[in-house]
Amino acid sequence: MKTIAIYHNKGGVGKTTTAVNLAAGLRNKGKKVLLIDIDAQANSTFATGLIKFEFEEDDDLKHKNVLQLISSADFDFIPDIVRRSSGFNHPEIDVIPSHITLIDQQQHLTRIAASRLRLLFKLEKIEDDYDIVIIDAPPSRDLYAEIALITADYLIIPSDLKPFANQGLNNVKNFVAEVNEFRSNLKKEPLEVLGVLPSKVLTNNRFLQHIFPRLLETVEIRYSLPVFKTIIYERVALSNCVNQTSNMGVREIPSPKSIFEYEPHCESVREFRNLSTELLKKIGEST
Amino acid sequence: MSEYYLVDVKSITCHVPRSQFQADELDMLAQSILTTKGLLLPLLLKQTAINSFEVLAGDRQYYAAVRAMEINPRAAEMVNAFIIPMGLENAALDQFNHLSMGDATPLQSSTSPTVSSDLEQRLIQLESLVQSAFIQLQTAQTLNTQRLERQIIQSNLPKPNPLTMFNSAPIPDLIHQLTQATRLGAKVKKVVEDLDIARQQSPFTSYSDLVNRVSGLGEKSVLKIIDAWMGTD
Repeated sequence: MKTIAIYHNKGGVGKTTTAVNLAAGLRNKGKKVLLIDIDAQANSTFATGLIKFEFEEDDDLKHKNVLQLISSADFDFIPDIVRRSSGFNHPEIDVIPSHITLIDQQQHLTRIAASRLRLLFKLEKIEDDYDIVIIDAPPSRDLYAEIALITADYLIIPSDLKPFANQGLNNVKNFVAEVNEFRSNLKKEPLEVLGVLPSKVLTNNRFLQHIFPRLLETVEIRYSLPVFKTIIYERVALSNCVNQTSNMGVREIPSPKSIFEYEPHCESVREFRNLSTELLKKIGEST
Repeated sequence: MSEYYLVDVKSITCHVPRSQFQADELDMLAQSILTTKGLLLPLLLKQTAINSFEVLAGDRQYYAAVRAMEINPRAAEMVNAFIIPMGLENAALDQFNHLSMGDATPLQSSTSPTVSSDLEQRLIQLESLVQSAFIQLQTAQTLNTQRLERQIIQSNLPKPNPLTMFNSAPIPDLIHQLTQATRLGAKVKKVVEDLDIARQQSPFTSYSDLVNRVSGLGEKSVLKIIDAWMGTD
């Protein structure tokens, strides 16, 4: 089992899009995939079709999400919490959902000495059930992001390469260094930064010719971080696949889909296929 | 720094055997831990590995916490504790011992000659305690009374309704108000007299009714008066 965190402390850089579609891409390659959403905004949870209820009373995630996983050592193990994505992809993937209550509980969790270790320990118990675990971390530098980076073996940093996203790379590097100190106490290898994944890149020709290469160079030279060969471009289908709804009489039910499900022959599908292959090669898994 | 945490009971070990403590006493303490949702005198722990701890002080509390977990594994999975950093163990133990001695010694260890002075001392302490508690209560009470009075006054104040005031205010008041708020000047008296006659025939039902039936009173003046009354001016 290999665990990959998707993290950048700049929001809006395509983190969730990357997490869910990469998960789908790996699943479509026959891998057993678990997607863990540890971002209180629960965008991955939504994108995999687990938030279809309209009313609070119908919320079936509140007491069964990643929060319970982190809160208790002896209860609420991964098989108790895991959900199968719904209408998201063929085949569906396994998801540990997130919930907005994570925000409220952070204060309490920081008081728990072992809160940073729970996810790691619980994943160790199901090591043989999955090939790849993907963790969608929050775009902040909080306890949840820390848990994600402590738990993961590898890190992907999705970035639109714009100035703020680039300047945030220093924060990411410092954060990784801090986490690595904690990992060394755990006798755990340092987190391996697989690289910056260019995402939400404009398809405008002039931009691609004149500006984009300079942005890439900045990342590699100024921040000395590797960059993925695969580029995830900003495309209509990719942003639409999350926002699908299906009409049920008077109600519009959210019906988000993976890009593979939404438009099987589009460019974005090819990009995510390439990303899956590139990733598997980087982490030494069979493609 | 000695940090305060919630620690998994299962990750703690203790060198003192459980048999040193009476089962029914641990039971009672365990129930109390469950009721108060916490141990009120936190354990002192030494960290031995990333997720394992040893009891430095508070063996009895520790076994009470273990018992509480046996009774309710979910509610008492964790226990409050101070994790004492390396090198500070002795200093922490010192403080712990002093603190727990302070509870028990004065009466037991004192011999008869000092009893009276001890008692006196305690009385004085008690007195000052009572006094400060009383002062606290008093201030709290005064604050509360003031707050409540303000609320009552606010909620009892009738919402000013300008139309009712036009209909019911005594003539001298109306003259005063209109002089202040409008530029009617010398005409005020005449206007108010007209208004009084009109409202005696029948009360005004609306502001337009008012303007229609009182010839010297224009819309602008009415608006000015209302503004003045409502304090929006």
